[in-house]
Amino acid sequence: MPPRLGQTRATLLQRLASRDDAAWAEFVYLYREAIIRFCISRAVQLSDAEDVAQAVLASLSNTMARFSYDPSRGRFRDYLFRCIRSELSRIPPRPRPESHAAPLVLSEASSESALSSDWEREWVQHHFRLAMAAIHETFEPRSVEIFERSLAGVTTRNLAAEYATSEDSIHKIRQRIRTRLEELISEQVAAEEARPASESTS
Amino acid sequence: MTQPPDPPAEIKTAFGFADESWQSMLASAITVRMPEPPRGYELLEKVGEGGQGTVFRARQSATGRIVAAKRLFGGPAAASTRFEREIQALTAFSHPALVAVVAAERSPDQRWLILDWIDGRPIDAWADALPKSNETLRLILTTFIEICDGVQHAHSRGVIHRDIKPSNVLIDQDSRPRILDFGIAKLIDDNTAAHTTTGSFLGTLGYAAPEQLTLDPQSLHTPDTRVDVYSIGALLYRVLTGTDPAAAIAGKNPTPAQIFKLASEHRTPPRPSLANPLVSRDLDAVALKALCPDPLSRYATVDALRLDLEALLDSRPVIAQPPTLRYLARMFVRRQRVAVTVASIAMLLIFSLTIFLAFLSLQLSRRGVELARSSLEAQEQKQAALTLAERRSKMADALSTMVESLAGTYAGESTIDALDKKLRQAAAQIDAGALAGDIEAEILLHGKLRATMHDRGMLKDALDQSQKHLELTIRRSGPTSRAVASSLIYQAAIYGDLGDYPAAETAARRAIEYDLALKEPGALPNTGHMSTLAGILHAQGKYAEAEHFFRGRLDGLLSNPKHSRTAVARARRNVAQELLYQNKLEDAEKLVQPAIKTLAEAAPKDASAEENLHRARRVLAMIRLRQGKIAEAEALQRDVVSSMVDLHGGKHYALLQERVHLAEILLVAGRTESAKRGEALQLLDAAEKLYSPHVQPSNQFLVLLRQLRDSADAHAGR
Repeated sequence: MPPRLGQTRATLLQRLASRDDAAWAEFVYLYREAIIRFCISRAVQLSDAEDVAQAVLASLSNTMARFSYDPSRGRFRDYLFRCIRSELSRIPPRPRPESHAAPLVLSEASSESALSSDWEREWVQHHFRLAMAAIHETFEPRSVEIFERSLAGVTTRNLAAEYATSEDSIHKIRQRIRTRLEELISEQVAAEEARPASESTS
Repeated sequence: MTQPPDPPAEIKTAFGFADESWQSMLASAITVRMPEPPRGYELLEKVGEGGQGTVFRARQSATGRIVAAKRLFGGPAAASTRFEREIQALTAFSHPALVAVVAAERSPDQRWLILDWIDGRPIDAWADALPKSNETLRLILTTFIEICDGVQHAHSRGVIHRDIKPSNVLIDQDSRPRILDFGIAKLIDDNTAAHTTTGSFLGTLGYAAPEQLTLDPQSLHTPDTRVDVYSIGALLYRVLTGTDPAAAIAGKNPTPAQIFKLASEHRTPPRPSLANPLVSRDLDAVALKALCPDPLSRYATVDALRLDLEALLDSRPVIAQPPTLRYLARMFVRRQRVAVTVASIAMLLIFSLTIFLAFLSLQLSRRGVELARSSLEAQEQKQAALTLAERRSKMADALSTMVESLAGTYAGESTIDALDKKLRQAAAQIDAGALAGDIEAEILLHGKLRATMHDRGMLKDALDQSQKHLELTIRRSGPTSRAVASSLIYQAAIYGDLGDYPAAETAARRAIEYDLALKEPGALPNTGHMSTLAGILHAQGKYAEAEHFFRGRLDGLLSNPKHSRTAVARARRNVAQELLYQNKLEDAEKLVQPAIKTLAEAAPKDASAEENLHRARRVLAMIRLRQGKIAEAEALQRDVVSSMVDLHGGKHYALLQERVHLAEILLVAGRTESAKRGEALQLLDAAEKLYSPHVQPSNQFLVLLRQLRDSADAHAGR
């Protein structure tokens, strides 16, 4: 089962530094999928993508425990990206006869920006997914359903007819959830960049 | 609720909130929540989400069959011949312990694995709910043999699991193990590509082999089937002890960093029997061999592990133990345990019968002499003899029935629990009138059962027997007699072990009172009774008073020119213990050292002296602890515990005290070494589980045990 998300996000990085197994499970749950998705978008095979995720998260866990992660030296997502890139470079090249995805040619400088923007996109999606998970926990299922169906392309008019409500209500639901999404993502990003607390003396 | 600040401009831009692009980005981000079902299936509910993908309960539309549909992360980009080949290997499995991959489905943008739906629960939850008994241990061994079979089946088809952990091994409704999730298995014989050698275990680090966690590519041992041997070993460890190996070394909830460190340091966990006294040394050895950090010293194959598990079931030697002569001899005795147990019980009963028959014969001859003297008719004498002969015959019949019933049972059940059960049945047979109301025979047998049950730690049963023994003794000998005093003092000892100290003290004081009533005025009370009373006073923290009574016994013994040296040594040990608790360490050591010397000389020939020797050494260990010589105290007390296990087996009541004292020492040592603190807490938990059903909560050692744990928690919380 996925770990419970939400209020605890703000202290996740700090909790990783202490003996908190739940924080680790949450951290893995949050970032593993993003790393695997990103690798796969680079035409890395699933098993290798899993290996990359393992190595990246393992190295992060060591870093967190030693408190050497220093946010003043850059954003967490860039730090994570550098870890992933470094692990990706260890994968030996192999033929990819079936793949039509972007080639993985890390040695070429031109690919660097593409790689970085792919990661940026994955990172955005990662935060959308997280925020939506929180939305599901706090909003009425009916409202979330309306919101998701509207995302899927169902028009406001059709939704209003189907849910026997006014178009204005549909607009309000969309607006409320959108506003909450913005807030949640702001909190998430702020928490991600938070400086870990110094080691307690216990 | 405080209103969060407006999202910064960076968020609005990066996430597209500045325009409407957020909608399409969000839509593509959350598609995993609402996937198109695989062809021919209907998704019923999402049941889990992990690192590899999302699992749904699904229904096959054509047949209505319920299956698990696993949507793998990655979409079509990861599709490859390799994926197809892996699926081919997985669908080729046909083993009852492996959850079959029914099919693999590829919709335009997703990949699905369709698996059998298993209605079961994870093996750790299953094991935690089982009672602690030797039957359970056998069931666990059988279950692990089936797990090994299944994993070996996969290995022989070239597939390593790589992620065996409790949530991947379910126990189904028929109590059979079902191994899940070969989704990350790699083909052993995959020659098409050189794979990276780290696996995918995050979140379940406690079950991964060290070579899977070592991140330095230069020092990698290429993971092979032995990673599964390790994981099965870790699973076995968890099921036997309630803790996974990493937590057993590093304490509860080790951080991932700690686990990686343990892997690189090649640390092994403490042997399982420390947490679960039912675990034999052989099972210890098997679990630890499977958990060997060096893959080359581990079982080379899952099959080799399975063979040792089977050997354990049959009490044959295991390859995990070096084949010394002593070991092989021990195994021989263990294989014959059924016969040995039956023989012991039969001996007990036959011994009782013999004594009783001898007693009857004596009565018969005395009666004969009396009858002749009083010139009674020869017919009357014959009749009396006949009555006694009938009683003898009835007694013999009843006892032989008991022996036969024991022998019959033991042919099929070799466990100690079965012995406990049979002892209770024997007691019930006496109650049901098996001895034809013969009060002498009943007293004799209640006494024997009382002693056997007390020795075996069946304290509540022993108390019941003791009460019957006391009532019958009073009926036979009147309320105040030496026999009643003896019965009472025995009852006091049982009450004391149970933890009912007020009842124990009352019984002991009554025993002493009855005993004195039969003696000349001014005579000293029975020294044994005084000693029992002193022990009860000690348990209530009345150390000075206890010392007074123990000294009384010591003086009494020394005043007798023919005193027994071991009895004096025991008395010295007892006085030393009371001095220890009054913090008079030097005086205590002066008394306990000669006691240890005397008892050590007598121990080889005398089991009682041996037990008392260990107790005396514990007193010395506790003196060392208070002197701050922690390492010496720890070594001494560890030796006391293992010697007592050798003497009585791991379940004996006497071990409660020794284990609690060892934990006390380890907790002090644990202030600088956290692993020892973990071991201490495990010891306390295991001891509480084992003994609390048999004693009252007020038992001095249970009380001490809880105090120690509370103080450990308080220390950890500071």
